[in-house]
Amino acid sequence: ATMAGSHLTREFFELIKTIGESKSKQEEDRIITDEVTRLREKTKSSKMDKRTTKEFLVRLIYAEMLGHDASFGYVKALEMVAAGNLVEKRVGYLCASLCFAPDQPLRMMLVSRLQKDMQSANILEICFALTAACKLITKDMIGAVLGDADKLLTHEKEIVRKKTVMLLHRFLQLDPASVADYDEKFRRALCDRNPAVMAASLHVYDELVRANPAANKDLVPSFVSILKQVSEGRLPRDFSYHRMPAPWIQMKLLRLLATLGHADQKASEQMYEVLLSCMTRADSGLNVGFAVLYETVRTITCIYPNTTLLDEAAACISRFISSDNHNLRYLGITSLAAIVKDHPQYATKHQMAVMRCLEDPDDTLKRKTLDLLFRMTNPANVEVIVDRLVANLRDAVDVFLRQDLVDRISEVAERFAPSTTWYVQVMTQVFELGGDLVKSSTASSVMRLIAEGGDDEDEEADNEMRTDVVETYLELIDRPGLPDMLLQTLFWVLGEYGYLAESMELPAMCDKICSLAGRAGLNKVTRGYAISAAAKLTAQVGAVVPSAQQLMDSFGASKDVDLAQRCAEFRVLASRLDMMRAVMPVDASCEDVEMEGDEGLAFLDSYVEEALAAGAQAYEKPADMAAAEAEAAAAAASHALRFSAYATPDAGTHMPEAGPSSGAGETAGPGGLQAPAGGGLSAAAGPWGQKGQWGRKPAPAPAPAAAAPAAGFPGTLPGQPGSA
Amino acid sequence: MLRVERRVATAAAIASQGIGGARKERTRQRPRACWLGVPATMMKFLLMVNKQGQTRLAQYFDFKSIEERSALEAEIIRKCLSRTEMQCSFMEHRGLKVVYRRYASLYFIVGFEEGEENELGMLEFIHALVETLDKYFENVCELDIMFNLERAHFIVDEMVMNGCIVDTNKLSVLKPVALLDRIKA
Repeated sequence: ATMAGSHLTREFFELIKTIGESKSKQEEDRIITDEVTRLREKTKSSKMDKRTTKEFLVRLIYAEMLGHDASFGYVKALEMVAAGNLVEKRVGYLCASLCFAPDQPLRMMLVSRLQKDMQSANILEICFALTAACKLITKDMIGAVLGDADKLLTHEKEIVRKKTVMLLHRFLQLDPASVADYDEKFRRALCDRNPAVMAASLHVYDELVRANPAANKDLVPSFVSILKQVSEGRLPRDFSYHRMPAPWIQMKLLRLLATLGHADQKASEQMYEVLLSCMTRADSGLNVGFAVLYETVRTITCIYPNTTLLDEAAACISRFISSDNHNLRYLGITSLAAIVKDHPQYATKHQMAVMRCLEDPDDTLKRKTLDLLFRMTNPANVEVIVDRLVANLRDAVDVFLRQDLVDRISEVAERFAPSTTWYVQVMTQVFELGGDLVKSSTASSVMRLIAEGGDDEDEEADNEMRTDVVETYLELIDRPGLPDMLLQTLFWVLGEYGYLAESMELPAMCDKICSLAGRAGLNKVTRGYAISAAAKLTAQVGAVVPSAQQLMDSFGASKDVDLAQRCAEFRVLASRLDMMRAVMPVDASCEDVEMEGDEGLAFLDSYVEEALAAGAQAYEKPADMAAAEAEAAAAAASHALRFSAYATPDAGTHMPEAGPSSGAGETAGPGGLQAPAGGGLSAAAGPWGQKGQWGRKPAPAPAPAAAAPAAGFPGTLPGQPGSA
Repeated sequence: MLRVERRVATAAAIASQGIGGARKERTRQRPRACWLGVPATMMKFLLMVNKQGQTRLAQYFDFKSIEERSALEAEIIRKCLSRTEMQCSFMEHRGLKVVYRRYASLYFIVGFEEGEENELGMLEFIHALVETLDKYFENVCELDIMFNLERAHFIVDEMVMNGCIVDTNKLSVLKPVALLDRIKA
């Protein structure tokens, strides 16, 4: 190492020494806080000479690197850029590049300096400006610098051309439109006699090709040709790294080819030869060779499939996966995941190796393997794989990993389940282990599946399945600390199918449920489920079990309206158990509610008449009500001070809010609110719209939701399609 | 009782689409991140942090405020330190891929967007960077970086632009830096 610190002032040297010797973050913080104070003093004091300013800026960089704001000193960077010699200028640019936020106003002040330096006769100055511009340019500064950049594209020095291409790359990232007509110039950069300039243009093409692969297919032959030359070692020797010719350029080209060859047979066919040759040449036994090999494998899996190449890639993956080197195993798993989706046959060969990776203590590897397993799942191996995934869920601690696992198990189990029983059991485990990470729609899916049974309409098999499920849940019922979703499913299952249980009689089951339902601190939705279950079982038993009565009494006066309603219903129905049985039919949660021709609920008409006669208010559609309220408000307003703003002059063309609220053929007319056709219910088109069941009759006062949560899930109005 | 038609329809759906009905293909679409209109880059950051968690060099290719940087550096070095030799050099941090390698007391750490780069390629790039620093400083050590922070930055700036690997050719990387050295400060 060079004689450390000999070029620094004593003060700076001491600073670095103390930072190096500090034993803790707090100590380091103290040192830097003092330093910042010193730096602040310096800016306030008399002018610093250039050498001091240069060092000042490096110390500023230090302070900010270690977490302390030193923005009071930013303006010194501008001074250095403008007036310093080459080194000082470079340091000024460095400070600005590292410290100035994108919205820092001082950035703008550098534009003229950047322009001047880009026009300089001194190559270094041009290079400094180009390097700094890449970091400092914002979208609105592009216009100011584009002209100068353009001229530098054809500069005689390759380092200038290379950096200019990268500046254009920056423009492309910030504002693609700014370099929209640079196609020709980019092509020239790609064909530049200097490989470094060509390499820079690859970054530009990376952006362009990704944005629009179709428009750039004509570049495939060029990329193929360049890759061929590079991998054959035709670049100057300086471009080799450990005897591997320009590995990063190869990787970039491979990536470009992958994007262009994807799903395009014609384009891909042009690549097969060079890919094969690349693979062979990259096999150097060194890490960097493996990196190129990995990229080749990735490209092969992306483009239009070719069996020879895929076989070669698979062989490669084989070597990676069985390697002792952890990094290579990781690459093996990653590339296997890439290949397995479209070519699952390659995965089965490695099942054992993959399982071994799952047991690896390395977290990263484990996650990648889980990802792979997920992609490898098919109806044949789903049980084994889900077993593994669930076991991992049991042990996993990291929240993101757990969420990932829960989502994946749910998805894969649903997609490939061999039977409903298996699915329900897996999901029960997931509910147990995953708790609140499970999506609530999953619970509904499970319940629906149990209710609907298998697709072969085999009642016996269905009932067997339901019996299994019920027994499973009965085993769980006493376990403490079950998550809500599990409890909800459990209560629903027992309420609906408890009669199939072989190990417990219904009254005992009802007792159990009631005691659980009455537990303090229970989530109120879950309690609602429990109460409904108790009601269903009561209907099936044919008599009110004392614990059920007690339950309904305790929650009948609950502040929660939903619970109170359920209990109230129960109490009313319990006095007529035969009606209760009809209202809560067994095994019919998925069936539509029969209206038997009385679609307008005409049987309620007499009830409505009575109520109206007794002085009850007629039901008003919400639109009517709103109109009435508006009228009343207007009437009141005319006698009082006006506090609201005047309506805009175009009030006449006010459009109703809800999209489909205008019925068939009606356009939004003038005037305030349009009464949505189809009554007060949501006026979506369909059976409930204008021509729907409710028709144009005034919707009667809703009966005390007699049939509402009884059959089916709470909150679901029976018979409404799409709401189950 | 009406034989429920819906039941049959659903059954058919189950048969064709798997037990739970249609499921959208789980696509991992990562939109490129934005910060004040600045677009995403390949590499997000390049750090040199020592075993005590002290940052020796930090370059961010996607701007981050001072507080964000401190937090990021502290978390990442903690993760690096907790890993053993038996684990691979790649890890994940808040949706980013992180590649790290330890040289004596110093950790070289690179972060990039998942799927954007070749992890092993990045690891080798770190090595190329270290070799370049080594050539310049003649047996580089942590102190060299500390006492010559701006020079270390100059070298990194020659190798990485816009978060992309631009030059790994030691001679061409070091030439402009060497030229600067010849100018008396």
